[in-house]
Amino acid sequence: MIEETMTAMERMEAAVKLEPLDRIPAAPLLDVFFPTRYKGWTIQEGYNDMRKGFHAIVDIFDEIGGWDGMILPGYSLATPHHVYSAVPVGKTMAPGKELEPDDIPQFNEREIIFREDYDTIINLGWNGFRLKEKDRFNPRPEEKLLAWADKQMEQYTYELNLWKKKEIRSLCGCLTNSPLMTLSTSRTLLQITKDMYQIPDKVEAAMDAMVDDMANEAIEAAKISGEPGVMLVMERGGCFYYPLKIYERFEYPYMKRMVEAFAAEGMITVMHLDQNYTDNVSYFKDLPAKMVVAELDSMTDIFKAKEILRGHMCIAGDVPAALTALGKPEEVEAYCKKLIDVVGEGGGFILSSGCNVPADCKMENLKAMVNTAKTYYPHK
Amino acid sequence: MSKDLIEALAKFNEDTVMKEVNERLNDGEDPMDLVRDLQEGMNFVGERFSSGDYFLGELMMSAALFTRAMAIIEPKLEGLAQEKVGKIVVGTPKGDIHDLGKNIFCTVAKGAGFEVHDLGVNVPVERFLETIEEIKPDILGFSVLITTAFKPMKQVVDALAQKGLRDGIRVIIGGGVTTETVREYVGSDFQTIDAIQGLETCKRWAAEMTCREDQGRV
Repeated sequence: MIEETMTAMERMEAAVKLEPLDRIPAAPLLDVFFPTRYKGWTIQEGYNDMRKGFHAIVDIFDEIGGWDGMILPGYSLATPHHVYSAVPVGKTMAPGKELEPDDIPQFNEREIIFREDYDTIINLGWNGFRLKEKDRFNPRPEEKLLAWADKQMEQYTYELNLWKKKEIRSLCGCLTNSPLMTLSTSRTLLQITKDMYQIPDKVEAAMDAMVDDMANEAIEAAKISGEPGVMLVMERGGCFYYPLKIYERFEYPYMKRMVEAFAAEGMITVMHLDQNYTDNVSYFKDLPAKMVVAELDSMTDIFKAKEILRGHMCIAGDVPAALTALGKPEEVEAYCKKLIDVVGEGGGFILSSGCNVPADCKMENLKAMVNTAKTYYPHK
Repeated sequence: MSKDLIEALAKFNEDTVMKEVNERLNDGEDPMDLVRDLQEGMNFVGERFSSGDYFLGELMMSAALFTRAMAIIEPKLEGLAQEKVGKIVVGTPKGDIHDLGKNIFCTVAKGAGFEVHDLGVNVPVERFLETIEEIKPDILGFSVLITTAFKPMKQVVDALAQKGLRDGIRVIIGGGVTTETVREYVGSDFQTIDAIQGLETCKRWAAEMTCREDQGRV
């Protein structure tokens, strides 16, 4: 075993700030699905009862003997007390409703924002647009929407507080999307792509009108939850989908503005980068130093990312979902050791799952991941 | 062959593609000529994607335009002999509703001359098996984005083996969450996260099968 000289919280903070470490911290992105299945419940049981689902996560933490931090505290959303914040712009298909009780809930991507909506967004901003079109996205009465928002925030702070009792913290006090991610899932990937090629000025104007509302809402949410960090979800802007000219115009300027707004409030940003961002990583060097975590899902070349971001930005990731679902513990251990050897060299690394821990993860594989962080550190 | 139509498809020029298709059909041109031009356009886009000049967003726009143009042409093809390079059954297995990659693959495969039977998303194991027994495809394709879809893929492939049908079908899996480990688990013949790479593999398989058939005749 490694002789530990830091607390879990100190270790996580040192990783983000690129300071010396006693070992690499482990922080899986663990939501309710694997813990629910591990309990022998259907996904519906853990998903619909937030408190029950969250405690299933905590039970996994206890059974493994703990780890160093959470990326997000659980599966709730830190939602401020505004009607526009409680309006979901998109529809999730839920287990036990549109899906079988043991299916994973999935976003049902359909066109719910249309080309003609851009002018409304430009004129009213993102909050004003959501308020105006509230009934299109969710026709429930305002008091029910606000009650939902309050329940989410109450659960979120409950989760954060429980983790603090366990002497760890969540990196993120809330979650938000980039404007491109938001439009991509509400216009659909095909339609937003056509928009960016056919009416680029209009899309740009809409994003200009969205970005500050989105950043301010996240800052407000993180202040209420009390954890100074924001997960910024970006899955649709990288080099897998688009050439750099698209990234430079429609993703990077807006994510930079959001990250800088968070940093000005003393908040770190965890960039949740699903899919391949290898060709985009060099842009991250212009983001505030030691205030951002690039959270990678195994599609981006994490080793190349380390070369580029060394000394500037912490990296989290990226044990592949297929490996934890199908692999053997020794294979997981070998991959984690490679990550610690290369990406962990010089600090600035958090060992984590590539995106969420999958629902059908093997417990022994999650244990292998966490235990490798606890027992292997060749850089002292 | 119309270079205008090929170029318009490759540059996602919707107005030109639709105008060309409608005008040429109205002029009484053989609809198969239009299909060949559109296929040529998709081949060009696929080549640009493979060489890194085009990205998924651009491939997707061309594929959507191809589908739109084919919807106009297809009624005119009824009764005409269409040579198909092979038959593919494709679907997203039960528990997974993601269809982006599947739809792109289906379109580029149609564009390359395959007869594609798209079963959609959240497809039960039994439906795959029933369709395979009915259609007798050369290739079975799975598209997945979540790990819980691994098991249903394996169940289909195992059932094909039990029924003695596995040797006659090539199996390809695709999707962001798939890896070589997943390919081995499922027992498929190929794995990719790239629709064009998947298509090239299917074309190669189709050519091999044709070659075998020809040798059989000799």
